[in-house]
Amino acid sequence: MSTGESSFKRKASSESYLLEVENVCKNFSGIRALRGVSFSMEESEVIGLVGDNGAGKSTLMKIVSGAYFPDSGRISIKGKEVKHLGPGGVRELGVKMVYQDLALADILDVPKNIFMGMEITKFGILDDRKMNKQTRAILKRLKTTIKSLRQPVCNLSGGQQHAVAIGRVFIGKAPSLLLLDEPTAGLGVEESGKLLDLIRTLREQRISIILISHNLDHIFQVADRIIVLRNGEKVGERLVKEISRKEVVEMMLGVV
Amino acid sequence: MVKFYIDEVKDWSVIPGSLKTEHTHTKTEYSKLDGRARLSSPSGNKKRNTRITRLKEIIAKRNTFIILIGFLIIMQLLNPLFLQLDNLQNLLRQIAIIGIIGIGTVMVIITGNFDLSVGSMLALGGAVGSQVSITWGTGWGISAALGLGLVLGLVNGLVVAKFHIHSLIATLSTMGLIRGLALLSTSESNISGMPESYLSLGGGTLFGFIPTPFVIFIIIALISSFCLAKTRFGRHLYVVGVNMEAAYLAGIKADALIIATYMYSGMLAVLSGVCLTSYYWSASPLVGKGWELQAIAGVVIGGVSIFGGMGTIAEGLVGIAIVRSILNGLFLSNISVYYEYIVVGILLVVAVLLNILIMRWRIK
Repeated sequence: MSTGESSFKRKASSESYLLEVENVCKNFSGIRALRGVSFSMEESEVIGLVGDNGAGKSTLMKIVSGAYFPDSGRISIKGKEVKHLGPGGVRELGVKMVYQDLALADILDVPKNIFMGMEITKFGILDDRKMNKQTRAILKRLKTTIKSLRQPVCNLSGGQQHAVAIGRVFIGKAPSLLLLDEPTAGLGVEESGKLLDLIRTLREQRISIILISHNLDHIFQVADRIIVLRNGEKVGERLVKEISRKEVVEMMLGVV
Repeated sequence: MVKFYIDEVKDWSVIPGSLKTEHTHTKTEYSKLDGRARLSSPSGNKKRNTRITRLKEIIAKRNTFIILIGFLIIMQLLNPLFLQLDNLQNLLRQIAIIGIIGIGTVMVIITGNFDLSVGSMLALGGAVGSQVSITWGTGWGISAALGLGLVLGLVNGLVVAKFHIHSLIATLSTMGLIRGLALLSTSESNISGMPESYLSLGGGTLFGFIPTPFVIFIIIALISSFCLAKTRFGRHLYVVGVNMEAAYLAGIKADALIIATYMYSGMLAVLSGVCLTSYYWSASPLVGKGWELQAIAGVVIGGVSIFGGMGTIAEGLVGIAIVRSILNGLFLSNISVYYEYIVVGILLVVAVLLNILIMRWRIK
């Protein structure tokens, strides 16, 4: 099976990639979620990660973000091997993730969710005024209006909840790699468009992005490269301009 | 067959309906829970609806402090003895001794767990504190008790956080276990003969009026309240209580936080035991039975959610003051102490029902 390796140049091994995933395997109580997946990515690149349900996309992303630990294989970020850092430690290295289920604390208010785990303190005391101010600035940047920041996020609309989850990315240092797991799921056409614009803007700011989506339209709109997973294995990796949608779908379903 | 399927559906975005994961459903469930969303629907009598919303808001925001004051006035009207100096001192001491436990209970409940072993830890702590202070002096007695509380809390915390045993089962087990240790350590009898300095801890007063335990209680309450509301530690406790998974993904060390709250709860429970035994001048291995219920009922009445992630120490302690005032009123009216358990049981059920209703309305 052609994996399209020839279609883009590999760097010499001495140079370091932004992210390098080597032969990563992960089992969940007997189910082989990932069986030796390898890929690498460079700065300001957008990768679209596609595959059918259960192909291992989310698992792979969660391993990169530090939420899961791989059973075997290596993950290196900026040339440094990442081992048992956990989500907080990987975030320090400049990798941030927006999870598919948004991972929000639903009865807490908006600033508490945006700054969850990254609270600003002054002499050890929470600086709520500063956090509220930054929350407003971030929501403005995301072109989202939320009437009252004090309300619990479960009272917000789906789009607003998405904005809160994505807003978390803009706290603290700018990430060098952003992982987006189905960020357009449940969003309307207009909101999806806004999100794709945001992805383009972020790439211009030299932030690399891995985007998981079931919507191939969205992937083809923003991605430079597509990686296809099936049953926990990488079955294809191509530049977007060198592949058609039909070919991607065939790779996903394994009908070639 | 498969190929045909692909050729038929050229636009991939049509397919996702079947491929998308289920998470979009949860959002619609939230809006069902949201009372305001339902009430703002055009159907029904608008005027009546706004009145119901108002009523719901009043219940949800139940200003428990006003309820407490109201209770005190009613008690005073029913029984003039209620607000007399002797009884007031007694009431403050009772509120303090169970309130110290309540502070720990609030913290544990905010993380979404329970600590049922506080009553037993109180008994064991009091017994150990008394015995050590008789032989080695008060300083050693109190230190030994507090150290013991931290160790017992650590055990509770480890069982809950590391072995993932439900906190109700875990602390129900340690509740029995620690009660047994208390009985063993005292050889099933009361201990007395503690040094003067030990006894002044529970029986003394500040300015000749405010009982010492109440002073200790207020100081601990203020410090704990500050930590819960104004530090990252406190903020993270709420996150852990609402969504453990989200807390983990946000880089919050939930296990360590849960263990810390149990250790704090254990330390406060034994401190309460020390205050109680020093006030009684004797340590009984049977004290504190059912106090975990009083503490939980109190803080939930005050507005701390049993589902975790919601409530403050002040709210919880006002709730405990309400429970103690009611029990004190019963005591003054010469009603059998056995009713205490019945009343606490009823209060707990009412509090939990209110809690569930408020969570359903989602009015804050």
